Amino acid sequence: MTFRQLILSNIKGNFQKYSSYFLSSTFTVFIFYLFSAFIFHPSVEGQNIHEIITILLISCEIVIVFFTVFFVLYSNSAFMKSRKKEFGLLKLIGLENKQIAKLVFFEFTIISIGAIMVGILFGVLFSKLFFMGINAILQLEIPLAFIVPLKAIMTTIIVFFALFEFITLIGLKEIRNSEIIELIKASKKPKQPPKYSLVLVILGVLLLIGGYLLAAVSNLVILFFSMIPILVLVILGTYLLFGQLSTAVLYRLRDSSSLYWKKTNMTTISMLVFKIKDNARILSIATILSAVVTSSMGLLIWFNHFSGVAIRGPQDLIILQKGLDEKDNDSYDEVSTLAKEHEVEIKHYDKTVVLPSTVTLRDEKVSSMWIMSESDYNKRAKQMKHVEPLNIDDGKAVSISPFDPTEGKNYHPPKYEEKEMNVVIAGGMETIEIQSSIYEVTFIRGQDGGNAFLLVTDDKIFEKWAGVFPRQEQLVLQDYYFGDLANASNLLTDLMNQKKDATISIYDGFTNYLDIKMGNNLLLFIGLFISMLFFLASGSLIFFKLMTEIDEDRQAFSIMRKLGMTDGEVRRSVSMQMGILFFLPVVVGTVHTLFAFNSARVALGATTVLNTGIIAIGFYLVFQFVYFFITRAIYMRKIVQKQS
Amino acid sequence: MLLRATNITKVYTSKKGSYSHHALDQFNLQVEKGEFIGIMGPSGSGKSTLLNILAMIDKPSAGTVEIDGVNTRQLNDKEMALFRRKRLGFVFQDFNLLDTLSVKENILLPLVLESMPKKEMEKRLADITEVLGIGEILLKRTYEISGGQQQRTAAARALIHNPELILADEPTGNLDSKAAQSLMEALEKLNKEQGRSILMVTHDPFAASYCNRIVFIRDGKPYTEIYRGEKRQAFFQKILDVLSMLGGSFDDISSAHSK
Repeated sequence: MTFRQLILSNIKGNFQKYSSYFLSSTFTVFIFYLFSAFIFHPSVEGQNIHEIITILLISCEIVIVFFTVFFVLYSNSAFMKSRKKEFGLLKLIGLENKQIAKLVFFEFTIISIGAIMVGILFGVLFSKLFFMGINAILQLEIPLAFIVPLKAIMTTIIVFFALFEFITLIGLKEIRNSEIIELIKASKKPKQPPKYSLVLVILGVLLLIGGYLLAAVSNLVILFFSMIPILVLVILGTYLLFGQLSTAVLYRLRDSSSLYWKKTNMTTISMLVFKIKDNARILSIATILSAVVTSSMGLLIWFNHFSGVAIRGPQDLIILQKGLDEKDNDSYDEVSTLAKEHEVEIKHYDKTVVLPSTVTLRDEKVSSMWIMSESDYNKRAKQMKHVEPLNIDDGKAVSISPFDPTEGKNYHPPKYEEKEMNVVIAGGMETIEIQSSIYEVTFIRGQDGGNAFLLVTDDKIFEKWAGVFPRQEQLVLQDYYFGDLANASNLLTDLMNQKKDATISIYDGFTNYLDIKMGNNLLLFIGLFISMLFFLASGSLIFFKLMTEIDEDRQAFSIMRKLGMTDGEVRRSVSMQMGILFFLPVVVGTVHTLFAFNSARVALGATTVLNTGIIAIGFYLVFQFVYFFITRAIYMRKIVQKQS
Repeated sequence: MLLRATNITKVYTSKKGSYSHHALDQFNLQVEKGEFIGIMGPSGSGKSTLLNILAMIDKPSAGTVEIDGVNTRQLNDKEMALFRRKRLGFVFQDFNLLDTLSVKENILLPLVLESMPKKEMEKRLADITEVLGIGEILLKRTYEISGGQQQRTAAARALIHNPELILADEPTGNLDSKAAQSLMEALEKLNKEQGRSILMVTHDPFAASYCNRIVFIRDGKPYTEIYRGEKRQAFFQKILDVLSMLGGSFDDISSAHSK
């Protein structure tokens, strides 16, 4: 057997152990290539693409590189440890350290090259799909064509080859630093039963509670400063949870539960004690990764949903006309013609007359205010999902500050707080009783005029006031609600051109929304890839660790089977152990995420984040189940393999 | 009749089928209740194969094994596993204790699998550990105790569920002479006082001298059988005589034991 054959047969023999590592490395290369293919795409440079997108992708690439360093470093050291015995044997038959190092180095190099090649291959195959996604989101003038940028391939190869080789070299020192006798005994040495310290258990619980509490009470301003402390508390708490609390709980289960003495529970629990403690680091990392993935995806999905309600509109277009008798008074025909031309559906159209006035708030600031009748208000309210209709007593009025009710809760922007209001109508002063004062957004915001306060009066009063109000001073509001917004921007541009000279104001409620939505979709799209990466990594870290210690399990189950444990019981016990190792991190991570959602609810006013967040958590669970079933099948086959 | 093995044959065939080897050739064996029987033979004689077949860890190519009237061939995998854990007890050369469990947990394992009430478990544990003299080490871990204690722990595990038959595979193989002697004395006591049936495969003439009867096996076939008289010393001498007649390599006792 030549040296080369030895390497090849070694890889073949170890491939099952390598497989999850190989898969994750390949996936990392795959994503890295996809992002570089965008960054280096020739048509990206030539056109108007936000720099921020390129910066975002480059930062993602940096995250991936850091992530790879950590992941490979860890996998490498776990792998070296699990093979100590094999190295010992090689030393025993007279291989020099140098030769063993060479053997391992070549082995890892082959795996690395394989991962790089397969990763790039899949990257190239899927970049077409990736570009299609980008095109759909960014609506580029020149859509990205399917191209394989040489620069992207070179970058990917160089970065990963350097990375893999460098980390492998670091790992090699394990071989040099060990004696034959240690190497041979390495895996036979029975482990000490894990201990836990009550102080650390309590500390862990306190850290978690502290982190959660801090997160629960923080508003946006506090959160800015408490973010890092919360993360530190929760991460440390998680680590202690797996390293200490889990051991304490399992011991308690052993010492004081009759359940322990039934069926396979005893062996399952006693094996789990070791497994969880030994893998505390990995399990906490998996927990944090799953929490990061579910909370950020949940927030992105929420924001996607939220921006459709809160940033869009409430109307898509408002045309404001001063004077009741101007000729532009009814622009509906013009807009609907344009709408037809651009294939924009007008879902609803409203025309409302308002009286412009002013209001003096408690800080003596004078703001513009529009006066509207109750029936007009309620008619408009019906079109806006979030606005409740009003019920105003005779002779009274309701003052409405143009802020989102949830914004109002946190910042208390100005609200009219007197019991009565003096309103200037046609030169005269009218006094009206204020029934209530609320926050509500009923006009497109952010453009001048749109931030006017609103005074909704009962219909009779409005009629009376309108009767004396100069006709040329009254305002005509025309609200448009569109369906699909795909072509709305073109409609707006044409309308602006047509109405250049007219005496009207045009407010649009969708341009900002479309911009934000595009950014958000892009984040979602890219986030999806990073999430997949994190997901695969967290699963494969656990699986990898399991595979490197499978010999101990196989031996234990082989003994139990000899003693008469049935195959079904073996399966149940293995499934139970693997299930806990795979799902405990997700469960703990989900708790973290729920607290993160709660913070988002409090600090960002994300009231519906729980509903959308459940989607992210649900998906994560489904994927985890799939991963679990696949890896369990592989593991089981190895455990139940024919006995010696 | 506790155990009746009839015409057991085990043929190992190389993958390509060009070469086959009869590890056991139409072997017959009968064990009565309460017997302490030893199986001896040189390396490669087929004695381990025989034990594996009796223990239902391996399947014979032909022939039948009946234990307590049950034909083991008619059991499916699950029934076989259940039969093993309810009616057979095992002692292995390398102890086969689980190092994630304490000594007590290891001994109780067969009962726990059956979900026996805790009280009954404790009672049986007390009885068996007293006979074997391991009452002091119950809460220790398996690697904290000596080889002899480990093997007595394994013996306790093999006995705790009152099996019909105890199968021992080179139980003294990994023990020093003193530990081996005390283990064999314990087994003899169990056999005499409690009437337990034991079938032991061994290399070790000293260990074998504790049996009532020894079946010698060579090249997969029974070679001869000897019975013990009154004196163990005389029996030991008789065993050595047979072994020297039997030939084959018994010197590998030492090499096999020091793995």
